[in-house]
Amino acid sequence: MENMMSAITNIFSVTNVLYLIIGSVIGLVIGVLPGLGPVFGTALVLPFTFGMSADSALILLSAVYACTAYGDGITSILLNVPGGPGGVALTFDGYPLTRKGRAAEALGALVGSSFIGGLIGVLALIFIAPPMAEFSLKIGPAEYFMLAMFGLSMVAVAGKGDTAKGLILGCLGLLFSFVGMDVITGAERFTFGSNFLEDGISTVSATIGLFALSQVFILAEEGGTIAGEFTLATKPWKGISATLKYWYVTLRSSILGVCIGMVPGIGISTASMLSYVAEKRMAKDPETYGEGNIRGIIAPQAASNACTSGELIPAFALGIPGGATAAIFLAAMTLHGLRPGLSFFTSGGVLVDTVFLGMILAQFVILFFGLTATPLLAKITKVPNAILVPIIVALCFVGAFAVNNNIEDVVVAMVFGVIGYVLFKNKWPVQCLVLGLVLGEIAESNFHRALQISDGSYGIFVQKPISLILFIAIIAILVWTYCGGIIKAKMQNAKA
Amino acid sequence: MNITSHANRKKLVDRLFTIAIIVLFTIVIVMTFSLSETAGSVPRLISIIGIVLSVITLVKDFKQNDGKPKNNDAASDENQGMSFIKCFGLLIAYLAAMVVLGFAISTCLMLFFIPIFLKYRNLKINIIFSVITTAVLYFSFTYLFYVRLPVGILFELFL
Repeated sequence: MENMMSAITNIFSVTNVLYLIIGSVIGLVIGVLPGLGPVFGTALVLPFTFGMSADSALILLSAVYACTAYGDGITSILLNVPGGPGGVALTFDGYPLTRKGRAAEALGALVGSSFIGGLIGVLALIFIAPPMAEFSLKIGPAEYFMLAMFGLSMVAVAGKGDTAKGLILGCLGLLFSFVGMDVITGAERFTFGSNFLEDGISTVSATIGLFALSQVFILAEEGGTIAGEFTLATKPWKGISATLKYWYVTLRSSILGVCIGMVPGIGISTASMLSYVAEKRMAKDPETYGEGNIRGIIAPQAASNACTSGELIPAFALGIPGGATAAIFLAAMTLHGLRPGLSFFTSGGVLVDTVFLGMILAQFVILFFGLTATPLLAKITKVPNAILVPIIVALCFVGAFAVNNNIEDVVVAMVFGVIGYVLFKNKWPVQCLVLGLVLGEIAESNFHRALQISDGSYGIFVQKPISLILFIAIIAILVWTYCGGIIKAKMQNAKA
Repeated sequence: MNITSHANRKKLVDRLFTIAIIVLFTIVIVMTFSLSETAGSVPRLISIIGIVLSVITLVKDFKQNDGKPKNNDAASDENQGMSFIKCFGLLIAYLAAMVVLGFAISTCLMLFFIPIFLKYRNLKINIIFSVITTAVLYFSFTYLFYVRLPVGILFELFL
């Protein structure tokens, strides 16, 4: 209780409120810009948190994360252009509503479902993460290794139809994570004699390059502006009341979003799409979906925003990121001297409560900005790319430089920017590379520790129940992702 | 250049990228032999898996029928390639300028020239935009986020 009171005082300090508002505005602006999603936003902001206290840093990132996930939906509804990966399903019913002159109602539903979905997600994080962290005490290096492998096998799913490419990038990410000092032996690996590489490749710089700088090249190529004219005819309150009227849709989509978020490697695009499909299947009037059904907005958006917190559950509790954004959160925690797991919840005290409160407050900020600033934010899409590009470049460069006050980090960001550009252009699943980069150290160090415990016997990885279950799950995922399509096709052929 | 050659070029880039990855994995395998068994075993294993997957992808890619690409514009693809190269060149110039001139001057120059390069040629707006944006970025990074921005070799001499 004492902690909670201190946390309340802490969260309402001028600095934290300021960071909450700044984070929300940055998140909304980035979310509105098509193609730039939560990963871009958090990657861009991360380096600027170095000078802050740990709670301010996590509050800023939470605000950016939550608001980007909301902002993604604005252009989906107004312009039929998904603002980010979570916004695709919103175009199905959002844009038809706009064409019917009900854009403000659709945006109201977007705000309402974001708010409720986000709140449910944060509550799930608060109540699920600590027991999960306690459970982490029962798992040793073998289980941790298997968990990391499970995360990597989900890379195959994240590959979305291109399993092999996803896995190749996962392997490449792992290799990048091996650059620098070996955690077990202390030997230098793959540094090519460079002092800079001795500390390894900075996840922050790499992420800035892959997700932010790569978009610079793409925006520069496209030229022009992102959008044209639009009007907001109706009032948003109608949409908000629809969120409450269809409370069961909001609730079940949010729960689905949390569950999907907790599984490493899947993320908000799957959460929003799955909840849309599930809702359509359960509806008595499925034919109205795609024609401008308000539930077609509530379901995917509630799932998206709940998923953002769901992704953080395994990251906070076990140190295993649910997705690329959660990986950035993990990097932020490490940079501020916080260790994920039980110690974060037991010795974190006021800090943990402040962060959770900050996440809850971020949802209220979404509600406030959603009701007041949405039309203004949507106008950002009319800013010429020629103006947006140099601003993003400056932010990326400073962001990468701020990692270690080192110009080499900017070079790393540029190299990864080019890699990201090539991957985006050729439709390779970029997020798989980041997952590999983050999970590399966890996987390798626990692999060696497990072998030390077992005197070199590989049996340790399948002897304990948890690791055995994870092993079976990994095999099942890989077999299903590789052969699922073939089996389905054969079954359909047999039926025919 | 016709549509098919455009599609072929995309495929070629894809294949070259896969081959580059195979080469990288191979270099890693060779390098692991100069490391101790503990430090080298996992990277070696990962590289072998990576090579196998890359080869499978390449073989699959070669076996697949090239197909008929839809809605592709060869000319726009070429423009995009040039735009990427020019944009990358500008970024290198910005990086070099930042090292020599520091954040403020180089960013002001970059904010002025990139819009011109992207065919947004309103000199008055460009000047106002570059000066105001640089000032906003400089003060917010320095005083709000406590980031130590690069001063530049040229000015370090005078400090």
